Amino acid sequence: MRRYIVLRFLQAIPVLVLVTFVTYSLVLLLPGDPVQVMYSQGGALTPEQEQNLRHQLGLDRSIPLQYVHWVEGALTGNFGRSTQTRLPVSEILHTSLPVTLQLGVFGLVVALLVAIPSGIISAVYPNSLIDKVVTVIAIGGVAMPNFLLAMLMILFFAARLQVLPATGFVSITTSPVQALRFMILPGLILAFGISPVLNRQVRSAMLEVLRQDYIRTARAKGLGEWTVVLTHALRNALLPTITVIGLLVGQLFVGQVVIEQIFGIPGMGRVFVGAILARDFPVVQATVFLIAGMVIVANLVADIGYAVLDPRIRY
Amino acid sequence: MSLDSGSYWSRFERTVLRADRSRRQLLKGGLVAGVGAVGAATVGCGSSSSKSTPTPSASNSGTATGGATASANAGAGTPKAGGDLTLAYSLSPSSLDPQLGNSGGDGYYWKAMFDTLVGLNSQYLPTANLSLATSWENPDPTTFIFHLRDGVTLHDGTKFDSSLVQWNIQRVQNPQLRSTAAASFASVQSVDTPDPLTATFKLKQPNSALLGLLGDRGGAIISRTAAEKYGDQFGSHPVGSGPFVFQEWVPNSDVKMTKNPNYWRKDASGNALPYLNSVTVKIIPDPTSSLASLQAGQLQLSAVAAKDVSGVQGNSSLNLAKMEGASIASLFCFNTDKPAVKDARVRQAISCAVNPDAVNKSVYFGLNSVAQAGMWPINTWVYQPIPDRPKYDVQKAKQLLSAAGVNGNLSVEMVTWTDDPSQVQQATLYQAQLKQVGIDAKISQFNVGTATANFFVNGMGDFYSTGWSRYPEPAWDAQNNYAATGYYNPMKKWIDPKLQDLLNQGLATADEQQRKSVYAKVDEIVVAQQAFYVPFLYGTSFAASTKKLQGTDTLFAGDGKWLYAQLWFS
Repeated sequence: MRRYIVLRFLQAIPVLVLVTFVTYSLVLLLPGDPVQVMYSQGGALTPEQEQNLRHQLGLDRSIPLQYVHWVEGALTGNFGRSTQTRLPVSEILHTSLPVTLQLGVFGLVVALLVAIPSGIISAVYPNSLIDKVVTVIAIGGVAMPNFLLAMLMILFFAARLQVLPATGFVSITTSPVQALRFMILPGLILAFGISPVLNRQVRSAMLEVLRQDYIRTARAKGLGEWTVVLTHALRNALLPTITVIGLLVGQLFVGQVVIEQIFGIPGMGRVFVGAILARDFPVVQATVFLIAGMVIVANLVADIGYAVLDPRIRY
Repeated sequence: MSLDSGSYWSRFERTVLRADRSRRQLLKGGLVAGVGAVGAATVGCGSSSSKSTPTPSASNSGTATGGATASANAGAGTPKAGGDLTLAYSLSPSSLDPQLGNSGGDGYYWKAMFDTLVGLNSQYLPTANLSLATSWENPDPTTFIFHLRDGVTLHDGTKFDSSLVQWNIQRVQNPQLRSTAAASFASVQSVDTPDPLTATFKLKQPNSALLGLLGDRGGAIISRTAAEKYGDQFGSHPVGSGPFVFQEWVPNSDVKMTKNPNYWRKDASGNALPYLNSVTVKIIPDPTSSLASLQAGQLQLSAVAAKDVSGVQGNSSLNLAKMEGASIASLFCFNTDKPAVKDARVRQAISCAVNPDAVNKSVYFGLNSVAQAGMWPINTWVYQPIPDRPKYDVQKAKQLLSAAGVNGNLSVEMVTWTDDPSQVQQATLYQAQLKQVGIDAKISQFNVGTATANFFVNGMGDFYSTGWSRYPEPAWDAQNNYAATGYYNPMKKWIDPKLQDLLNQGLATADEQQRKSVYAKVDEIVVAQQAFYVPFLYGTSFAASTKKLQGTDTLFAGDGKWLYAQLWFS
């Protein structure tokens, strides 16, 4: 098992390298360069100033050299400085990552709390009214754009009813109750984005498992229905679900980019979008690197969880 | 369990409800109810102030032509000191260093923490009681003598004197730094300091725009001690002399400032400014969200997009303040080197083919105003209408096109940006209007930074459909847009040989009336004859505030940004 984990981490390295390389190429393909884009409105620089600035930002070196320089720095944990604010990138990530993580974990937990029970119920009472209701909500959740739902909820709960704040963020370390208040709306929207998939996944896995012989055996032994479902069936159904959760972590971040803009949450999503628009290479690179790393780790945890849950699986 | 037998209700009962409730289930139900109660308590507690549902009505909250107006909360009683203001703005500051920032939205932040050597009032006139200089003289065209205000200290205790002024101007001019105001001080040869309260500017050539330019970024006085201590991080640790002292900047979240207890400026009755104890600017990119935050009681002041104005007007718990001409909402800038628009008559035709009034009504709900003049903003000393500028006239457009020898359809490329949906909407309307005179306009859209760089630097497109900020000094636009070396001159050459003389004249004389007539001639060439920069709509800026916030008639600065020093809570 230990060997498996080490191998997986080693596998992650070429993936990360490839990801940074592709990101770099993509940002380069975007029209406009950082200095042009930063100084095109609200005032311009003299040619001399522009040249000095390019030199200070390292933009007058050749492109492969800039990439190599960045990689060198990244290996030692120095992600360089933002071209926009000259702040160290690691500082920018240090302040925005906990925000995104807090909201992401909250959204994931809500999604699990909603999707798994409803998936189980849908599987235990297939084609019942509740199953149909849940299906409609699930399909609606996938069909409706998350920003539309976000706007509607803000206008209703915040502006009209005034029971929840419309924008903003409080860290859970500052005040758990306030943090919860600010996370309810964005967390729900995030959860709504991924729980349909999760719900469908749990439902189909459960349906599959409930058909098995060993379930029939358990019932024959006289165990109560819900004991059978929760103790015996669920454990087996969760195995493929865990893999799906690992994949959905990436999707969660995609949803967060939009949600953070709408709710004014100072997370990595906003930093990322702002950096792309300003062609701020160091920040874009570091953010993608970090997210790719997190997705890889999440999937690795899912795979290891798989092995923990199923003693037959050993790597 | 057979699901097909019985009525729907009995099936429902069997599948959804359980006939037998065991004690375990009862406990589970109680747990759920308990969690629900906790949730309700969380949601309920902390929700603030009175609940008011917006009721749309036909009421109109005060219209006035020109200047900043407020709906009935200007001077309702004497200002009281105290209170904490939280407001929302959509753009993050690029830097809190006024000299080195590059974003048009920075003014909402730095103007609260810094003063400029010359203070400009809402008409853009240099005003001594708003300035760090108490008076100034212009003994000869290349010399300006500023008498400095005594007893002013910056937030870190630095004394304001002439050596600080000298250091500041040198910093702006430093080519190793990146101040966008450097170009405007290119004509300043030196700043001499004959005594601590006198700063003498020696110019290489006459520049009567100096006063106006010293009222903007370049004239902001920063602390030398702090700048030397923080180096290139000064932008995150700003220290100035302004009404509010910097506390904290959480990137993408908010900027917090507290009252400067030693602020030098007093109000008309001699009371100390500012009135407020603190100002927190929350950075909320989405205008709908920030207005919802205002309605939810999280803020007391927010900008309002045109689409939400009627909702705010109908809301009896909110006041609406507005400033007309806070920006130029729509203009075309032509690249006169491009073959399709090389002929001035074609450019005039394009400018006559568009219908700004229709665009105003459909995109801006009639809230902006159709431009009668050029790029100099309304309600300033330099503003004057241009009688023979292009106006909406389809027949004239067709005549001009045929006079220019255009038979059949003409293909042109319009560059525009996507960051603000209004720009996209108006671009599509313009495209449709141009089609009516036989002009096929292809739209190329990018985000604003890229679009601007593409048009002005990379020579993409025949013309640029964009907005523009309100600049304090006509020489700023003249030098940057119309001069041959101007960044915002896409061809980098004089559009008309007479312009060079006119621009020099505009800088040479300090007499306001003379300058006004010079810039009128510039307008005549740029807008009417050459149709180089043709504005169509002047933008109206709206701010919604809670009823308790007073003094919003002082909210708008001359350049449309916000000032907080004279706001107070009743």
